[in-house]
This record gives sequence, structure tokens and C-alpha cells, in this order.
Amino acid sequence: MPYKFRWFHLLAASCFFYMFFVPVYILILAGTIIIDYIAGIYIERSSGKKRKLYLILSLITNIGILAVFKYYNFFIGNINGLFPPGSMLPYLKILLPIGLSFHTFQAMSYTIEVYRGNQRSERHFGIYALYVMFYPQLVAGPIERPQNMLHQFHEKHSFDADEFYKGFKMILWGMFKKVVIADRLAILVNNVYDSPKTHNSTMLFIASVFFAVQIYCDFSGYSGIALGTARVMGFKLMKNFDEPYESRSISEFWKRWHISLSTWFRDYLYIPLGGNRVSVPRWYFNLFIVFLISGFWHGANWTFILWGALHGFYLVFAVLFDRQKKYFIRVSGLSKLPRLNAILGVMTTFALTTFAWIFFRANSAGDAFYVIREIFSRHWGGLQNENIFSKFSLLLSAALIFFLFFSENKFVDILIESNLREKRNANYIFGIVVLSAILVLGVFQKLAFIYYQF
Amino acid sequence: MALIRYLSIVILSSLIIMAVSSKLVNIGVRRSSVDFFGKMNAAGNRSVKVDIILAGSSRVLVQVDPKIIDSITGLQSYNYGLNLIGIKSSYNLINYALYAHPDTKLILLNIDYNMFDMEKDPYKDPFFYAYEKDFSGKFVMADPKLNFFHRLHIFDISMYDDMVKYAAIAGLISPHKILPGVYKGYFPDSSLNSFVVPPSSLMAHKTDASFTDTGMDILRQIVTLCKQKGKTLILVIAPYPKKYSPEKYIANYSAIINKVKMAADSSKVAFFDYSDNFISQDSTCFYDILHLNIKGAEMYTRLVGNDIKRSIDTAR
Repeated sequence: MPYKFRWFHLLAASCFFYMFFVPVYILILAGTIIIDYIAGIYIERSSGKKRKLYLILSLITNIGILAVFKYYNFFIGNINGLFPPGSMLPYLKILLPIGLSFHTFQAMSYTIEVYRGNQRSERHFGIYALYVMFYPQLVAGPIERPQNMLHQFHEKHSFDADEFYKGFKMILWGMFKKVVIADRLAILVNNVYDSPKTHNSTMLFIASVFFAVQIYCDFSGYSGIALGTARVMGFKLMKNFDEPYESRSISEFWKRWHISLSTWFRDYLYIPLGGNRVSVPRWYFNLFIVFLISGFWHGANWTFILWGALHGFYLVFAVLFDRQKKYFIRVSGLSKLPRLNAILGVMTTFALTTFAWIFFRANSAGDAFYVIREIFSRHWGGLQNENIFSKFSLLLSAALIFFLFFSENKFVDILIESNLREKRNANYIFGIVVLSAILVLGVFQKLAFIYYQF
Repeated sequence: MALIRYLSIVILSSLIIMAVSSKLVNIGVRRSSVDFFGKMNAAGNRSVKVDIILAGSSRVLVQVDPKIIDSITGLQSYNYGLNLIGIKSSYNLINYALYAHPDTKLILLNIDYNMFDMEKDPYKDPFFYAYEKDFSGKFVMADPKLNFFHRLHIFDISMYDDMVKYAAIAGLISPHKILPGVYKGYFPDSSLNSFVVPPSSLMAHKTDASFTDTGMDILRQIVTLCKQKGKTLILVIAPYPKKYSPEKYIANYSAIINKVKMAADSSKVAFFDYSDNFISQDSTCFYDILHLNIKGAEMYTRLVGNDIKRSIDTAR
């Protein structure tokens, strides 16, 4: 296709992709794109209070749409709960546009960067629309920055066999994580979390650990497919995951998990609030509030708010007791055993994040507290619902989880980044094994990506 | 060129692996003797004479002994009970067993209050049944569009189903596995002798059992199927321990059972409700709140056996 029509082709494909879910919602997206496109130009042209005014108008539009579609019913539900039946405020009968939180944040990063002078406003409307709507990352990120993406849409890309090949391998690995691991674990997790009261502590514990792996494979799998799809076409998206479950602390976890969102909150909320260059109590507040809002970003539900608050608490707690932790490491002799110290750090972080995921996955806050209570009351028992999730599935899942954590950073990442001429045999084996595993061991039950709902 | 060669080799090799796996799964499922596929294989086994089909959930599997039924009736019975079976899979199993055993005289189906929820049926749609080609389209499916499937093919969804793979591996490794204590599908577990007390939370709040009208429609289809084929159908409800009667924790239990009773009455089908009989008064007959132990199972089977005999005699 001629270079000058490529943006149109990609934009049309993105529109088709978006309209596949609820076609009419493309009008909302188009509305915000037009407003932000004009706002970007006016912000660049003006100065002083006017410049700020245009930015605020753009932000209000984006946050307003988010508030109406995502949070209105949540607030109304909570307000209605305070008043007697009969004086209820009406709910909106609307569906949440797919990926709303992602493309809204991406659009906001554009106007903020133009306002800060880090990015020139985009004059080509089609390219700006493509920046917001680029289909590989439209519905679940990564939440890109204009500095990384906009110039790529202007550049001329020619077919690069090596890049195509690497992108293909990224898609394969992402698919493997999604359909072979995440969707298999989802069978047990969904069954247990949809009726936690009919399950014993063993099942609740297994389901909670499985969910920690499921959400990683689901979301990082999606990100891998998005990065791979873009790469096949010659575009480079930002990395969204970096082996987060190998983190030794919660703060490190957030540098490795959903990187595009955590850096968004860092750049556009945490640092503007003052970051750590403020009084100590204010710093704690900044940390806590950023994670509380991050939880709320994920969904209009108390479970997500509690999940965010818990992570905020973890971070504040870690800062508060940092000295004591270092002292303990020194006196216990762990400082002389760095490997053991690292393993303990990884295990503690995994336990804490898994505990927090209980709130993220539970259908209600009540369910989450029930699951926690039951796990800690240790009403252990045998496996339940074996017809739904057989011992074979359990063994296979355990083997796949082991394979994932053993292989991902040691082999897979290296293989994906190798060229056609390098590691020839290993690359053939990787392709055949992963594709065969997807076809033979994959679970194809039309399970949507978890992060589509955000 | 190198890229094309790579893609071709990877895709072709994977398709070959998939085709071989598909073939192995087909063979394994056909030879499986355990769980759902084992029961379906048993249902389709024409070399065994089956006069009485005993169908239902674990409340048939572990508490109706075909040896006792046979001794009372003088006929050949087979226990097709399957844990957690729903009404849809019950229909499919009975339909297939009647197809393979046209001389069957009577079908006993145990009714559970939770068997009418189509979503909860753990046995997936039978498009992965590796059985007779000409039986295609005669199963009840959650998705009628899938009705045309009757055996495994490459790219079938069955390739991806863990339950199928599990059955296939079991069938390949031990095709005619003999489970200890198994006699014609009956699985008496000697460990089921001490009563497992339910959690105290069970009785705290009454909850509704899932129920769908589609489920009731399928029960009517079972009635129609038996009538069309001229077979006697008996609906039963096995005993529950008096102290833990489902009425005490399932809010809509009576409503569900009344609907079943009305459907049975209107079709003139025998309906024996043993849920509150003399066995239910004796707590030493139970393993847990849903299942009898061996002592209770023997008592219950004799009771059922006598009612089956009377029904067959009446039909004659």
C-alpha cells in the first residue's frame, strides 16, 4: 500500500475493531478525539491562563466521559444506599465502552504533554485519531505517550523480515499465556470465586494463587499480542511487564507491573502532587492517594478501591518501616546471604500481591473478606468440583506455571529477541512447541481479556 | 525466504502434531471406562443386556446397587449415575442408552433440586462424543448450532477440552480400568460410613437453587422420549436426612419438587418421593446431607427395587 494511505488503512482497521463491540460508541470516541485534537492546537498556540483553560477543558471532557460511563452508576448506587427505598435516584442503562479508561488516559497524556511543551501538537487529524485508536493497544494498552507514538505514524516503514519474525514470536507467546495458561486457570478460579461459600479453604487458597498467575498471563499475554501485532507492522510500543513476580518489594513490583499505567500515574499525578519532595506525612498521603485512585481507575467497585488502598498501605508501611527492615536484615545475617534475602523478598512480595488480588477478583467486598477469613481459618479439605477442574487439569496447570516462571526470562525473552539466523534450532523448536501447545492444550471458551472491562 | 520457510515449517509441524493428538484423543475417549465417557461407552455397549436404566447423579451412583435390583426384579439393570449430572446430560445419556438398548423396559431417574440449571451441568455438550455417526443431532445441546458434531475432527473444540483429554489419556493408558468395588457402574465406597457434619453456616440462610424452565422442558422431553419408545419411566427422589432436609436451607425446594410432581402427574409418570420416608428418620443410614452410606444404600435399593418390580408388573 502506498505510504501516504497507510494511516487511513490503519485508522479504518482500528474503527472496525472498535465498532465490533458496540458500534455506536465510536461516536463518543470520535467526540473526544475532535475535542482533544482542537485542544492540543489551541494549547500550543496560546499562553498563560488561556493555555491552562484549554487543558482544563480537555481534561474535563475526558474525565467527564469516564465519570458518566464508568462511575455514575457506582456513585448513584452508593447514594441510593443511604436513603430509603422510594427516593432512589435513577441509574443509567448503559454499557461501559470497551477500553474506555485506556484510551481516555492516552488522550489525556497527549494534551498534558502538549501543555508541558514536551510534544508539538499534531496537525494531521487522521494521525492524531490513529494515536488514540491504534487497534493493537486500543482496548487494554499499553497506555502510550505521544512522544513515543506520534512520530512513528509519520515515519515510513518498510517490511523488515526480522521485525515481522520477532513480532510473530511475541504474538505466539502472548497467545500461549492467554489461552493455555490464563484461560485454563480461569476455569477453577471462576468456579470458586463465583460461589466461594461452597468451597473449602484448600480450594479458596488454590484459586487465589491461580488468580495471581491468571491475571499476569492474561494481561501480559494481551500486552505481548499488542506489542507483537504492532511490531509486525513496524511499530514499537512500550513494554508493559517486566517479570513482576520476581520483584523483591512492592515498590519494585509497581515498576514491573502494568508499567504504562504506573508511569502514567507517576508522571501525571504523583509528581504533580509533589512526589517525595514534600513533608513526610504529605509524601505518605501522595503514595496512598495515587494507589487509591489507581484502584478506582480499574473499576467502579469497592473491591478495586480496597485493592488500590491495600497497595497504598503496603507502600506507606514499607517506607515507614524501611529502617527496621534494614536493621533486621543486618542483625539476622540475611545481608550476608543475598540470594536467600532475594528469595524471601520475592516470596513475601508474591504473597502480599496475591493477598491483594483477592479483593481484585472477588465479586463483592463481602466475598473478599469471606475468602480471606476462610483461608486463614484453615478449613482445609480435598479438591472439590473435580468434574469441572480435574486432577489432570490441576497437574497440567501446575506444570505450566512452573514452565512459565522457569522459562520466561531465561529463554523466551532471549529467543523472541533473536534474529532468524541466530539460535536457529531453538527458534524452530520454540515456534513448533508454542503453536502446538496453543492448538492442543489451549482453552477456547471465548473468555475476554480481564483488562477489557477497564 | 528464511521467514517463509520458518513460518511454513512451524505451522505445518503444529498441524501434524494437532492431527495426531486429535486421533489419539478419539481413540482414547472411545476406550475410556471412567467418568462421563466411561458411562457413555457403557451406554453404547450393545454386548451388555440392559433391561433397567438407573440414571441420575451421585444419589444414584453410590446408593442404588444393581445387584439388589437384579435379584428383586429378575432383570438386568445398569447404574448410569454420574456425579453432579444435570437434566440435559441425563436426557442425552438416557437417549443414547435407549438407542443402544432398544429392549430396555424401565428407566429410573433420580430428581435433584439442583439439576435444572443448564449452566451448572458439568458435562459439556456432547459434540465430542466419539460415537455412532447416525446419532448426530439427537442430543440436547446448550448451543443448537453445534448439533451437527458427532465425532472428533481436527479443529474441533474437543481438542481443547480438559475433560476430553483426561478421559482420552485414561482410555489410552488403561482402556478397561477396573475400579475396586465397581459392579455394573455402582460405586459403593466403604469410606462412606461415618456421617460428615455440614458446616453450621448451611442452615443460617436459605438460598434459592438455580432453576430454569428450559430444564423443566428437558424433563418433559425425557418423558416424551420414553413414551415414544414405549418404556416405563419412574421419577424418584432419594432420601435426605430428616435433620438436614433441603427444605431447611433451599428456599425454593418445595416449589421445584411441586413442578416436577405436576409434570409427572400430567404425563401419568410414576413419581416416588422417598425424600422423607423411614430411611430419612435414621441418621445412621447417611454419609452426608445428600448421600446414604452402604447400610442406607442397601435399604434404599430394596425399597426402589420393589417399586420397580411393581411398576414392571403393572406395565405387563
